[in-house]
Amino acid sequence: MNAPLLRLEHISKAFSGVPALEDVSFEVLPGEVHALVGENGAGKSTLMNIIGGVLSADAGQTRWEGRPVAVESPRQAQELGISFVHQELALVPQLSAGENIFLGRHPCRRAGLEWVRWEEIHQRARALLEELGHPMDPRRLVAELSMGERQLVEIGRALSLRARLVIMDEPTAPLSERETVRLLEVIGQLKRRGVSVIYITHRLKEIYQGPDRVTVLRDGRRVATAPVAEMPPEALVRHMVGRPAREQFPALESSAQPGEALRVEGFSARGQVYDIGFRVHRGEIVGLAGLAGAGRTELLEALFGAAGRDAGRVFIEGRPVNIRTPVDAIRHGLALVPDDRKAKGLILGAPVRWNMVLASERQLCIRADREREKTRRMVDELRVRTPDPEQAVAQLSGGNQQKVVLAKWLLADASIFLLDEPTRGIDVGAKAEIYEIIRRLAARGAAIVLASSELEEILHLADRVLVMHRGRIAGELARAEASEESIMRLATGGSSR
Amino acid sequence: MKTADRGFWARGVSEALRRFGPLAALLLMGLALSLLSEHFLTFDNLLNVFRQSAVNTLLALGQLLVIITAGIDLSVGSILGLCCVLAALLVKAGAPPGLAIAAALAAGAGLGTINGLLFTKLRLPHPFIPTLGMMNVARGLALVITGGFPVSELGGGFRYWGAGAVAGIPAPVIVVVCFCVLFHVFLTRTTLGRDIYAIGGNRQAALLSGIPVDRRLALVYGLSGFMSAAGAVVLAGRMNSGFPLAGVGAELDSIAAVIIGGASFFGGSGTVLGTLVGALIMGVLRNGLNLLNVSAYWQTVVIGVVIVAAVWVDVLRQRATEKSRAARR
Amino acid sequence: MGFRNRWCEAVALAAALVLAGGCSRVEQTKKLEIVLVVKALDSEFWQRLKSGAEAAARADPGVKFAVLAPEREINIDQQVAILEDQVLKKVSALAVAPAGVAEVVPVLEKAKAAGIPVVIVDTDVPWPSRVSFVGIDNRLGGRLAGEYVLRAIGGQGKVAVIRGVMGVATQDDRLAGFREVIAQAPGVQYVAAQPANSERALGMSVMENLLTLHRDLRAVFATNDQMALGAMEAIAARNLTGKIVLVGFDATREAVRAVQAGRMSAVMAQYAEAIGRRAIEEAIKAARAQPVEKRVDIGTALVTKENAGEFLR
Repeated sequence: MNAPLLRLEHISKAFSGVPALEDVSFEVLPGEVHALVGENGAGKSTLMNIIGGVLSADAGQTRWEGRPVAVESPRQAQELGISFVHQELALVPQLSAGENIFLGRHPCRRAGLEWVRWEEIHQRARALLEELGHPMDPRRLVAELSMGERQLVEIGRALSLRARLVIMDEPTAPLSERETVRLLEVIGQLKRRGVSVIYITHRLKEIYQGPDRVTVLRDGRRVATAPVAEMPPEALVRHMVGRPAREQFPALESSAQPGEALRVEGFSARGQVYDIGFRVHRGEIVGLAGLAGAGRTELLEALFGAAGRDAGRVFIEGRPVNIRTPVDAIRHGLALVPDDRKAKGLILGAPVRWNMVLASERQLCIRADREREKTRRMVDELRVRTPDPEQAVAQLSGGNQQKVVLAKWLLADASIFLLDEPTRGIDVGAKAEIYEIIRRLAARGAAIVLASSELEEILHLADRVLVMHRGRIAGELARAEASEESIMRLATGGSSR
Repeated sequence: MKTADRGFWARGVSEALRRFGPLAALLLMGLALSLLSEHFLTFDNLLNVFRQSAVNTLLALGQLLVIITAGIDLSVGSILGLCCVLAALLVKAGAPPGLAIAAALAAGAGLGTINGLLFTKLRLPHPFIPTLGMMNVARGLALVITGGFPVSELGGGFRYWGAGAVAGIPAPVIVVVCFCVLFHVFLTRTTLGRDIYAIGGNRQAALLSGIPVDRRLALVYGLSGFMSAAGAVVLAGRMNSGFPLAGVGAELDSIAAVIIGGASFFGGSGTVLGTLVGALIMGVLRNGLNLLNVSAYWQTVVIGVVIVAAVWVDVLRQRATEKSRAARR
Repeated sequence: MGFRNRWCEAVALAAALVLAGGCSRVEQTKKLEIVLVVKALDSEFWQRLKSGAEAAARADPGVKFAVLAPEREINIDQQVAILEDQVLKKVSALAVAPAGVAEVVPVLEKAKAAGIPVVIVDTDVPWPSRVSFVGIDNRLGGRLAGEYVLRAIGGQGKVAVIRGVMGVATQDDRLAGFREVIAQAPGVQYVAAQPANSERALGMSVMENLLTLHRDLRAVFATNDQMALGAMEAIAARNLTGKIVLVGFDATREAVRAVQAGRMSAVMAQYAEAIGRRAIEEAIKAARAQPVEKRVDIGTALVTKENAGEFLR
């Protein structure tokens, strides 16, 4: 049994009192490809950032080759031999592949004057890339390379740094099928050279195409580690999702009415969502599930007119509409509660009152009295906790801020609500209040599309669930069939059976 | 707290500066100048200050709107020059003063709107670019139309807005006060004004809340051009001539007035009163240093120092407010 | 910590103002306050005029003297503002080199209304209430320059003029005098009069463009030395020194040395110090209600290589 290359013991980390990792122990053997899986928010990124020296753990010990180490900066991690291949590749597009591989460490002729030895760079780069099994001209500019080729460059860079451990975060997310195959081959090459790889992914299929072992994180804890051969997919999904079906989801009466409020056909946008088709009835709540990068936010923003629509038709109450800007969307009764309320939903420096009336008071003169009355009504109805509606909305807590965003659309008499992560970053109490508001809206006849990463939330509220995967609708689940497992299976590219 | 042992006056001054910002600085400067020169605090001199600051204030009001949206208008000085010349030429050609003024205002608004449309329709990365282009185009046109010559002797009717007076109050002062009131009402009591703050505060959120951002931006730049033309009319009246090099450097003065007045360069904040105070601070500085026979070169140095100091004070003020807010939580 | 910063800031601001004001507090004694306001202080001409004026002021112990100017000759509104403020101070007398005509006359009227006598310096304006004009006959200067050019090119060839800000009397008069003389020679072709705002850099650019447009240019008259010196560099850059007749106006030291070295052909002398001195002398007389000479013509002369040495003393 080999001694582990990297060993994390009882690592814990919390952000502002909210635990992200609790007592996680994790190890990687030399020459091993170790997959790491978990839902959004399970703690994978935090764990990797601790390994990479970007964050430091609150408790626990890290050992490298058996020796205790304290990795306090990315540079230290690099010196130990830990290398990262991020989702956002850290390459300089205007430079060549070879230059990027040796970025910052160009071999020089004379130490003092730093004459760069270009031939040497390109020779060594070419050799590295060949070793990886995919020769490429190192003089090509990174800007001209495909995503797969760019990843190769990043991996080449890691090799040139004499990495012993390479961490890859969702490496196949931007790749085509062919490039994915090539990447897996490259990983095989790394393994043959004795380099270990930590492979983070959402695509369960890939776990069975290369890695030796798999570890599952859930809610900040490690719940399982096993050789891939001993972990069939159903077991994997069960570990990821964990909870038995809860009785806590009260069987809500669906308030769906027969009238069709919104219908979308063949909708494509921004090169990131393709051929989307679905319908929402009045009073119905349709959940939109999927993992990060599946395209939910892009879809909702495109429907709202905030981003380019490539193709497709949209019908409201059966009539075709052409929505090119948010102004059009609002006129047709649409509302969008964006995923990032601070960046997209609120004018932080402005008073609560302004934010609430922004979409509804559109005549020339400000009628302060009428606005104050409307604001007061909303504050009561939605129970927004604010000492003074003239106070800047930046001072409210997350939950109350989100209520202000909802109030804005209620005041605008919206009838179709597109909600994107409506309870992100909100404490439990406020969450419950917002769920109540959403249910009341539906009961009053509004059509609601609820995009969320929290499966609990979707199962609690939705009458139907659409699951997105890589920009398309992977499947639709009726309330009876919807469960965390079935949703997760569709979201990770499996089938609905 | 250390301020306790600094004495009553020191605390008063720092508290005043913190609360009232630029206005306190203006009063402080006025106080200092009145001690240094017996002429400063006379009625005539104060009228001089207002008169000399009038054109800059008018330009600064337009610039304020632009800066609130996190933009910048570099063309105001050149549009002023071109409209100055246009109005003067029309008057010399026999047009009634009212027509000349209306034509100049229309031209200014038109050029400003072109700036706005270039920025929004061509999706240029920053308003710096179209307004820089317009700065050169307008100045060039002014020189081409006049051949470099000033167009002088414009007659009493036209000159009224620059050189006339009502009951002893110079007409430019009245014009400035009227526009200040109008802009204040616009910014604080209309939804258009609120939209402008929203766009500056968070453009994406404003767009997603249904504000027609492109239309508002075109309006803002159009208004900036309009105010340049208004400044041109006052200046031509005051100078009794439309000279094509009028307003060279005026754009920087207008930006300085807005920034000294407390508006944030990143958009979303700024008030008419602040801008007025900013323009007066610059006017008082120049006037005071003139009275003290300090050369024009030193005046420029002092104004540069004041700009940096004003922004620094504002940064400190914001940090102090945040700290006290955090402490309260 | 925050309060202390702001307090220091306020003190620094006030201190800056005090320092800038310096010791120029108005004294309560009965000294005459004479102020000279010129178009700019960015050239040797204005600097020499200023030193001549200061000499005259120093010679009289009962006089307190100051010189002010805007940053550039084109900043007409800045000069008007300066004048307004001096009028407000009710100075004893003003000596003014006006940057513009229609723009400046109204404020001069205010000076008159306030009882302040005004002496016009260097650039005349058609304002009857001026107590004196001290300068030179610019038209005559232009004519003399024209005569020199005719002699130098043998009455044949293309000739151009580089002039200062449009609409200013001195520049207009010099140009007019020059053209009067040139027009009389049938073999001479007058091709252009381009403005360069009395600035050296602009003078160089304008000259470069003229040389490109008119390859066979024989002579250039620049209506002041700043522009002439700029034009001189443009001519030298094309190795045409000595082949093109270049005449300047003012006879600043630098220009005279250039004439001596053969880089410029000739300059018209303006005795800048004398202008400054006489202007202040007349202003002092006016402030004391003594009789004043209505017009002081300091006189002009042609400076060539032969007599350049005299002008460098």
